[in-house]
This record gives sequence, structure tokens and C-alpha cells, in this order.
Amino acid sequence: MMQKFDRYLENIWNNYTKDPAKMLVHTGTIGWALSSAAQIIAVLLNDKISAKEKTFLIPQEAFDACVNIGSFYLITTGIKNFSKKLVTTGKILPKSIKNFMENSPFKNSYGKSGFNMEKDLNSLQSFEPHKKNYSAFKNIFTTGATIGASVVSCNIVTPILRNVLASSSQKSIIKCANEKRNPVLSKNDIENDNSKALQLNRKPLLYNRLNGGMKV
Amino acid sequence: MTIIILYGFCCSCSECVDMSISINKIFNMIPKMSVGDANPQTLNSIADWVSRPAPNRLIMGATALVTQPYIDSHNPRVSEKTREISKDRTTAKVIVGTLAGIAVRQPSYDLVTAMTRPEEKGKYSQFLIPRAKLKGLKEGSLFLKNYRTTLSTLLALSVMCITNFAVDAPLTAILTNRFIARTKAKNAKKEAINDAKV
Repeated sequence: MMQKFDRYLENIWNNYTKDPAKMLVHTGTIGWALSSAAQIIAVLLNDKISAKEKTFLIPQEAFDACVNIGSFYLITTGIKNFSKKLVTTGKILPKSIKNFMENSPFKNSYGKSGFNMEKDLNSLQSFEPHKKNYSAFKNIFTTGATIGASVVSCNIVTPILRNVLASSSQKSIIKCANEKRNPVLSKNDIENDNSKALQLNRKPLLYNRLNGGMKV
Repeated sequence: MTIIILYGFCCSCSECVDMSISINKIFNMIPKMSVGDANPQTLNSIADWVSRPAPNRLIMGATALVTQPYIDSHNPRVSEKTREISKDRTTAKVIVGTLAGIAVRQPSYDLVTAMTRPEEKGKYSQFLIPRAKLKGLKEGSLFLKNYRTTLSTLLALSVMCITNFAVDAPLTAILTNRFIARTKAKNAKKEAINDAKV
């Protein structure tokens, strides 16, 4: 039992400690799906909200989870990787490190897309005093960029997109419900019904419904 | 193209390689920038604090409270009434979600931290550290930090499987109904003032 538990912990360690963003995507997907399911049930059971509003709120909640997962993966992960690239290539650095780089043998290569501060400067002894400063800067810059990107994707992009999708979904639900209640009849439908009525020797049904106020 | 810029990979076909080269050229055109120096310890502790599950949820919740109700109340594709109800429900959901999220995540993080202390010899100090990884593991290592975040998020997620249905959803419904009643009263008051003016 303890061995199984230890193996489970080791699996988590091996899969997620190198790449916590992967964990955020996986747990986020489950979390958002669960939260949306609970909220949809709450809206369905809420008798203070009318059926018409529910046709908007339920798709809104469902799209909230889908769009959140998509925008998190595209925007947050993307911006996180881009910000990391800005620091690891040396495109953006603290002043003291930039001054050091300007006087180093890498003066012309740093800041270019193929350059990697960590790999290329690893053997440079004179960079040793700046290492702590560099890793702290990388840490705060990527963390800040990730949080900023999360705010943009979850709190700005997602609500706008989910509202657009939910509104069009509400329109089609209402249209569909109206068509079911008041089906639009074509001349063809009436003619077919008339000929069937003649064959079966019964009254034409649609003609009566038409006279009863149906739309043609 | 966006995928290559953001994720840094391509399928290695000639078109992708060409595109990758031009994207690298664009990247190289971005001017080099520098920012003021700061104490590395301060920077690390700020980054560490904001990455913790509870403060992170607080930041997300506070910004959501500013942006989401505003976006909902300015949705031109729905009727005025739907817009108001949607705004009220979003506000209630954000408040309840943030409070419940913090209430679940902080204790999860504290519990996991207390049980993943490689340098302590307490009965449960190393209970959640895999035996194979214990050797040479030091407090403050990036792997340990990521492991704690992962484990506490997983623990919080399992708790939230229950709280989402048992706490979040009913509380959101109650708060939504209160907000709807308040909005209705506000609108009735406005109408009465307008009628009096006429």
C-alpha cells in the first residue's frame, strides 16, 4: 500500500516538477469542467431565473469552461514561453547584467534568438557573481508575465468570447423553440397534405391549422 | 506562425523552417531592453508569494471582479434583463469562487508544505516526498517548490470536487438571487423617480 502511494507520488514528481504549466493545464481543465457543471446545475434549479435567461446563462457557463481552457493554453502558455525567451536570449535584462554583457565576448551575439544566457554563459567565470541576480530576474519576469497573461486570458478574453458564443447559442435555441411551437409551413406542405387527405378520405389537417393562425 | 513564436517549435518541413528563420529575424529586430536592478532576494520572495495557490486565486478573483461584471453588463447581443441577470450571477460566482478557492487552497498548500520538508526529521515531515527523490533534496530547490504547488493543487482539486457542488453552487445561487432582488429594487426606484419627473 505504502509502496503504491510512493510510486504515485513519484509519478507526480516525474511528470510535473519539470513543467508546472502542464499541471496547471491538466488540473485547470478538470477544475473548470467541474465548476461549470456545478454552476449549470445551480442555474437549472434556480426558480428565480426565467427560462429565457436560462437559455443564455447555461451556454454562457458551458462556453466559460471551454474558452477558458483554450485561451489559457494559447494565451497564457504562449506569453509565458515568449517572456522566458526574452530573458534567456538576453533581450531584456537588469542594468548591471546588461553592462556586463556589453563588455563581454558575447557583446554581439546576446539578444539574438539563438543565444541562451544559461548555456552560453555557463563556462564564463566572470558571470558567476551575476547568476543570482539573473535567476531572480528571470523568476519575477516570467511569473509576472504569466499572471498578467492569465488575467488577460481568463478575465478579459474568456468573458468576451463566451458572451458572443452564448448569445448566438441563445438566439438559435429561441429560434428552434419558436419553430417547434409555430412551424413555418410552405405551400408544398399544404399541397402534400391536401393530396394525402384526398387519398385517405380525411379533412386536410394543415389547411385547418393554417386557418387557425399558423404562419405560411 | 503564432505557434512558432509562442511555443518555439515547428514540423521541420521547408516551409516551417523558412517561416522560423523569418520569425527569428523579426525577434532579432526587437531592441534590447534593460530594467533597474533590485535585490534578488526580494524579487524571489515576491515571485514565490504570488505563485502560491491562495494569493494567485486572490489576484485572479480581484481582477475578475473588476472586468467580468463590466463585460457582462455591456453585452449588446442580449436583452437588458438578461444582461442584468448575467452581471449579477457573474459577480456572485466570482465572489463565492474566490473565497471558496482561497479557503480550500491555502490549507492544502500549508498541509503539503508541512509534509514535504526534506531537512526536518518529524514524523510526517517527509511523508509526501517520494523516497527515490529524498536523497540530496534541499529546501528552496525549484523542483521541491514546483512539487509542492503541484501536490497542493491536486489536493485542492479533489476537495473542490465536493465543494463545487456542496458549497460554491448553492452559495452562488443564493447570492445571485440577492443581487437580482437588489437590481430590481434599484430599477423600480429609478422608474418611480422618472415617473415623478414626468
